Amino acid sequence: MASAREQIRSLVRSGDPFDQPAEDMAELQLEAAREAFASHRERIPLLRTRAEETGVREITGLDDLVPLLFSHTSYKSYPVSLITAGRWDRLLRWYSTVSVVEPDEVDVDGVRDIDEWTERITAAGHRPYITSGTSGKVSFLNCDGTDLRFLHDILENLTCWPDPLPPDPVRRGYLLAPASGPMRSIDGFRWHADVFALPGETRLLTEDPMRVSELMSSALLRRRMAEGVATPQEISSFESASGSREEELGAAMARIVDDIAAHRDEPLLIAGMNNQQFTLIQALRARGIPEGGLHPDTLVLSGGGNKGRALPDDYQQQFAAFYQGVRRVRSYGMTELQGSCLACEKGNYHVPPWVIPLVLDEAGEKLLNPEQGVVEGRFAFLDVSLEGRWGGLISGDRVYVDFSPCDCGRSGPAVLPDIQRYGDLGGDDKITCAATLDSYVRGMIHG
Amino acid sequence: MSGTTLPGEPSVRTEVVHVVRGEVDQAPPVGHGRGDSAFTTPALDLDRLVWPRTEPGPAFDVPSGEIVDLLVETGEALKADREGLLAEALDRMVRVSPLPAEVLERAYAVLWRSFQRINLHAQIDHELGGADVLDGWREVRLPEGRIAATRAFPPRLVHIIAGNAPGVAAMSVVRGALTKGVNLLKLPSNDLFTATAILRTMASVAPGHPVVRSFSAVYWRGGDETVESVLFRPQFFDKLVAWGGESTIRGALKYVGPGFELVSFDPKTSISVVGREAFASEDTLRQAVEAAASDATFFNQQACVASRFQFVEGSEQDADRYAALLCERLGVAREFSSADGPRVAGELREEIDVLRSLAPEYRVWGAYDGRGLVIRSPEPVDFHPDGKIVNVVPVAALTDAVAHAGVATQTVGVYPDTRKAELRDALACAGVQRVVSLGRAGGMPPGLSHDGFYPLQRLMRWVNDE
Repeated sequence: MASAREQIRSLVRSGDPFDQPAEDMAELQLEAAREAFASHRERIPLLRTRAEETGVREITGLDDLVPLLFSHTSYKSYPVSLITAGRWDRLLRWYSTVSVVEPDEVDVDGVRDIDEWTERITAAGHRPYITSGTSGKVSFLNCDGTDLRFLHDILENLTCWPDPLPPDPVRRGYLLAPASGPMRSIDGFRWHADVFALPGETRLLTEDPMRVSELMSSALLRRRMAEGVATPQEISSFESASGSREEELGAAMARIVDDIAAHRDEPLLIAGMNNQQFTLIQALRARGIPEGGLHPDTLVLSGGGNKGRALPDDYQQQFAAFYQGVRRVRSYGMTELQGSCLACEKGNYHVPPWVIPLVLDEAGEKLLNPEQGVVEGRFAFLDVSLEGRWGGLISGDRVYVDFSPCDCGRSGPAVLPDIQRYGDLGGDDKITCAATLDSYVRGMIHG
Repeated sequence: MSGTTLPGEPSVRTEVVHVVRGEVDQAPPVGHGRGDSAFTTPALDLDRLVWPRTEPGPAFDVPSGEIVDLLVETGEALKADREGLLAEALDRMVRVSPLPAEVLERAYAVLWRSFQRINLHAQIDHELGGADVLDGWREVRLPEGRIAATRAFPPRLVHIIAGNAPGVAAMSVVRGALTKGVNLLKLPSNDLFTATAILRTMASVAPGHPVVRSFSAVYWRGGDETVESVLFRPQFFDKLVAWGGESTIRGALKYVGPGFELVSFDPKTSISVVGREAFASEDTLRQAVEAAASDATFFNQQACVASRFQFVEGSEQDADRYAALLCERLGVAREFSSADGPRVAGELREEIDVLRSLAPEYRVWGAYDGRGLVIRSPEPVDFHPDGKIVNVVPVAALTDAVAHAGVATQTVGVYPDTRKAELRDALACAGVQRVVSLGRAGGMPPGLSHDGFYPLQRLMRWVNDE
């Protein structure tokens, strides 16, 4: 008999994993949560500490999961100095407290920078996906081989759900991304290209791999500024390097725009994060491409939160208008989650069965999940499919989740389209005179 | 979609009182905030929040002696609180402030101290060089022998005050009154009550007094452009006096321009440095730790003067002895702190849990229950210790600690006193504004500079007769 977690993962090939009988599902999920807790507690010290501290010994109900949820900052809780001082063994030890990676699995001998450190972990059979926030410090989210295969299964079976796209390689591909890099979106785009694009017909924004050290450069520079050792010349070089990088990417984007304009009557694959997608749409509009002007077999992938409100509030509507008539993946998700919540015909985001949604109060302490009906709160979850790390996490998102069957006819739960970050909602405007040095250096280097 | 279950709206919304030109405003209420922190305020009448430039402010010509008397009487009235205005404010504060009731109570009990005569005179004398320049024209002899005159003329001020300690409201009212100018106070959502309680107390002492009529205190949501773009104009105000909060200061900058100046009490952080003398005996160690714990817990570490990073001159073992003892003393109630603080927030907790696993380079004392926690690390931690968390970093020499002070560092507490002289120039060079004896970080003495400038002097408009 397969474990509950395997049974849940196998639902991805079931035809409609989002429409499962609620009661059976609840039981299976709880069993899978027990399995995940039991196995991860053994291997992930941070989870073990948390369990001991909160006194949770077993999972008897969803309430037991709440104190075990991590916040997104746990995946970037390493001291930056470990990177600046090149303490790669120490950084690995940190990583082994938040993932199933064991220090002696990975050889960090002779590692020269954070990119090589990341590659060594990959070489050991894990994939440390990174996400970047506005602070410049990146999170490392571990996946193992099982997780990567599962991600691949999701894209082969669920791309464009509820009307899944047959895996035919018939499109000209455009990936508004670097050639490679430890980011889940980049892997996702490439895998989609492998499955849905013509072999050898995929254009990239840049052939260079995405470098973690480059993503972290603002955090590293910020640290030097805080220490008072960054020189004006160093800051100036940083600014101009980012400037020329933007110019290069601008030129690459212009070439892609030309190519898309020339081939818009053919099926295309256009994949990119929301801000690149937005730039692309603006440029295509400027070239006179009308709304709904692309081939109907075109597949569009987009994603990425609107961090720091870099995009206009109505960017989603603009995407929908420009890309009308083409196939789009519409989802609500985050790197922390395996496979996203996908939008049904009614526009609600259905939570996949391997994800137990836990709607919490704003403070992230109390579980609000009702039996039925809609509840407002902070989105948290346990992704029971994850093997490489503990899948319990509290997000920064304010959501409404409907636990009743959806108007599309499927059983719930579904996240309703009105999703916002608590940070953007404001809520209070407490003023205090106590602050961090960050206030003094932030804003001086790119937000 | 079926019925929505939302977290219940609070049954009683907290009512916030506005004072407009010295009187309690009777406008109909409007709602603010979400969930448990929802409250109502009277609707704003923007016209009543400015004092027309075509006429002098009500108190422009009131002698400073009379203002000092009024403030002293207000202080007495605050101490007695006969009308229960402070009690009422305190009751409401407890519901919205992150500070525990006992700390607020003790802070309210000493609000009157800011109104003591000796303190008011210290500000006038040390910051302006005497009352003469406030009450009239001070003669000055120019280099070529000609006589000119100068006056500290009453300004038109709009204050964005901080709410992390009630004393900020008292300090703002005192400074505003001493300038004789007109003062619009914007209430922060973490202290919607102290300023109005003080102003109402002053009004009860001297109803209709010109100084009373020179004050308004109202709430609008910080950054609300429909209010700020209208009021923050040189036609109405000379200066924006803004207390910390990065977004406040950055938001305020939009409006600064010719004729509308920013006086900013920037967001700040504070540290302590402890010399090896602390390890001379059990007694000295206890002394140093006691002083350091007092500095670290000021307003349960909500204040900018509260020390968060402490650099200890000694070995790792010395630092560990210090840290262990410090952790014990953080959980002690003092005048401006409680034994229990807020529970350590989830995100910080995880960062600290991870550091625990990085032993022996890092060591942690204490729990997440808010009674105090100390982290010893080879260098300062990346995150912002908050809520009675102290990061102890051993250094070979105190001068090494100077590297960790910067423009954001306001107060540096030093142990023992005799080491201050050796460090103060270097600290000042790094950007620090106050070097104090360890244990003296809280309660800035009136008459000294604040955040690197003399506030009263900055608030005035200096006008010459040449």
